[in-house]
Amino acid sequence: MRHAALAAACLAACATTAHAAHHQPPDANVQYSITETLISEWLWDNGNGLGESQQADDYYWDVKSRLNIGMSSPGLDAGLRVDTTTFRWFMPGWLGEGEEADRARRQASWYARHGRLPEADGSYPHVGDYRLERAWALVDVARDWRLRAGDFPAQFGRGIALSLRKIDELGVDNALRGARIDGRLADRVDVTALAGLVNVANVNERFNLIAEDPLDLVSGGRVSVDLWGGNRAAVHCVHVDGRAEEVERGALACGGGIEFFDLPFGISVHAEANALRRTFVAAPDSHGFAAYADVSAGLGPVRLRAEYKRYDDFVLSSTGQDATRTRWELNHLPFADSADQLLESPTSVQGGHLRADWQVADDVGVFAAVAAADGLESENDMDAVHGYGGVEFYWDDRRSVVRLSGGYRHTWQSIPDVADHDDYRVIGYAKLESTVRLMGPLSLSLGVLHEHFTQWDLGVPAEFDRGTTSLGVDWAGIGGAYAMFEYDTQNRAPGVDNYFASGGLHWTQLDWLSVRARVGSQRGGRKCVSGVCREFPPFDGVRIELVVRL
Amino acid sequence: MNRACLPAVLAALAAPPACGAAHGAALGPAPGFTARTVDGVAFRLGDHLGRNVVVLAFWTSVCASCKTELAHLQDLYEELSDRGLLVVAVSMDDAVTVGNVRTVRDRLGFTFPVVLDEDSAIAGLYNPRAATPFTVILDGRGRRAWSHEGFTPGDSPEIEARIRSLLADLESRATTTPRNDGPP
Repeated sequence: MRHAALAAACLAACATTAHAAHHQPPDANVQYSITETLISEWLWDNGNGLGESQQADDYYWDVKSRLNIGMSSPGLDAGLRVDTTTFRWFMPGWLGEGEEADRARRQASWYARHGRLPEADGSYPHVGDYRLERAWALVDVARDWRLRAGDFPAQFGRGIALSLRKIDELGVDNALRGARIDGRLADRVDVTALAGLVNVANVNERFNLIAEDPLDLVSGGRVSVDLWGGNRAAVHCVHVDGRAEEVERGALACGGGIEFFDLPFGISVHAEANALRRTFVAAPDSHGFAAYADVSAGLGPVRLRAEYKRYDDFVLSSTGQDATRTRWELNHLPFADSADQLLESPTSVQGGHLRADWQVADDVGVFAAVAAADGLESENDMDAVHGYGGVEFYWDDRRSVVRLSGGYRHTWQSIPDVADHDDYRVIGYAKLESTVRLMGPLSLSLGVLHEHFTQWDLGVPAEFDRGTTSLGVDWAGIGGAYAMFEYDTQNRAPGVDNYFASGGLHWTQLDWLSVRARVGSQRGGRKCVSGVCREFPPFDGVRIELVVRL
Repeated sequence: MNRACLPAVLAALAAPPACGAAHGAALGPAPGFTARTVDGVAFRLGDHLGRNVVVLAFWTSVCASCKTELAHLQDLYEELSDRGLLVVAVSMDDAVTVGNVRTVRDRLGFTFPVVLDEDSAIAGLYNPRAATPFTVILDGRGRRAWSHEGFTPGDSPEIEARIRSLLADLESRATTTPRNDGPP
């Protein structure tokens, strides 16, 4: 695999160079593109208190490269991605931190986290991952019919039955390796059929751990019919044939839904229902169900949105585990807003969400929302209510903006016979985001988030705060700088950091190259990328990122 | 790795103008795609390649700077669509937030097509890093002319200047080259 990756990259690069060398005319029919992301980090003690445990994640450096090469010509697009990652433990004595024995203990813990034991001579094996991560070709087989071979993303509807896609460059990035065909019949029926092995990005960027591909075989299809004016009805089925088969053999999920965009009063409707059967090696089949509806309507300057969801044990995941000992999700259950993702039982829950957005004037908008969730877990289920709202104000021809929002969220937990107090968590939060154009190419950005938590542990409340304040200056066409201060007072144990400070620079003067650097410490916890929220460990170190686009 | 090929790899990586689809002399056609708009209508990029100057703006409904950029592009679209400018907002929202896209579109008054890239397939063609905001400008010959990651208010003049320059080129070609009377 490693040699295949290098050979493919070499071939593409040679082709690119040959192409350039022959001075092809401007109207040549082939276009290449290269996007390279190169990241190097040196991370020291991130202050999460795990320094000498089996989860030790301090004192190492890494170099990660993600090389994307694309080629397009009439009727054919193709591409590949080569991922290389190298990790190395690095805690030199000149840092002055720890005695020799302490460093040796930390080193052993760090390599153990990667599953590496010392060799006979006391050295440790290399930790890294190098592979041809993606390779694909997309062929126009007829008008409105495209065949994709190799790696491809896949999602049906809102992703309840199947969602394998990319969220970010070094985070969630799942695909299938096989073949997929998409087509259109009679200009009103869309058809998709696919089959492939689950191929994930193999380095968990949050925790910097290496995982192998699950390689479960996923096959499925979807038929969608245009009823009128873009209003559609669709049915789909997904079958998962497990590879690991240690506990679960696989699953079958089928469902259907409607998408109406063009109803009176500007009403649009998305509704979807799915049924799931999972088969196990040594247990009876289990069944799941998911229903989701999202209705929005426009009433002049006011837009209303109502959402309902009911998920009963709807779990569709790989039969193998990732580097953090969790299973890869093959689907994605939608929720109304990112804060709802705090629900501890997202696969067994019912709830609703109502939101109103009012554009008061051209440059002023306000919104308010309420949400409720009722956990359906048989044990320790969670119920929650959440209210939030905000205002957005533009000025200077919409070049400058300030957004203020805040909310309150209360969660209860049922633990019979353990505690008579079923409060679980209360969160109050406020957020400010602003970008202000100063003069010429200069602009200022300010972000402030403060969250106050009250969390009960067996009826005993604990209060803590989390927050981030950042201030940045950008010079368009040149770059910018920022400074950030953060706090997280949840864990007051010795050796755990509660306050964090960092700063960064970025340089974007060249169209084909951008450089970003940051140094210092940043808090961990739940962070959202493109609306998908995940738990991140704290960061403490220096990081340089180069992005080359050719 | 074949050592003989190493110089070629390095040369390829170090020669932006040669490969320079995005930032130098554009070569060849940009990839086409078909996607659904937030109104359920099929949008085919191929119908506009070579006929319009196309701005592909990758965004999500939870990205603050994306919305600021799109508000600026809306102003340009209102002024320049008659001259051949087409703005396409490519939403990369996933299942969690895709329901917000229509609300943002209506609230901020975007009149250009807003297409949904729910499985990230379009990003795979144009924006393999899945960055937001990310802007790609395709010239009047259907080729990548410029791309840019991130947005600050100070970027507006450069984006506008590049669009106007490409529209001028499109118009000069239209006066010297017979137009193909196919579908718009």
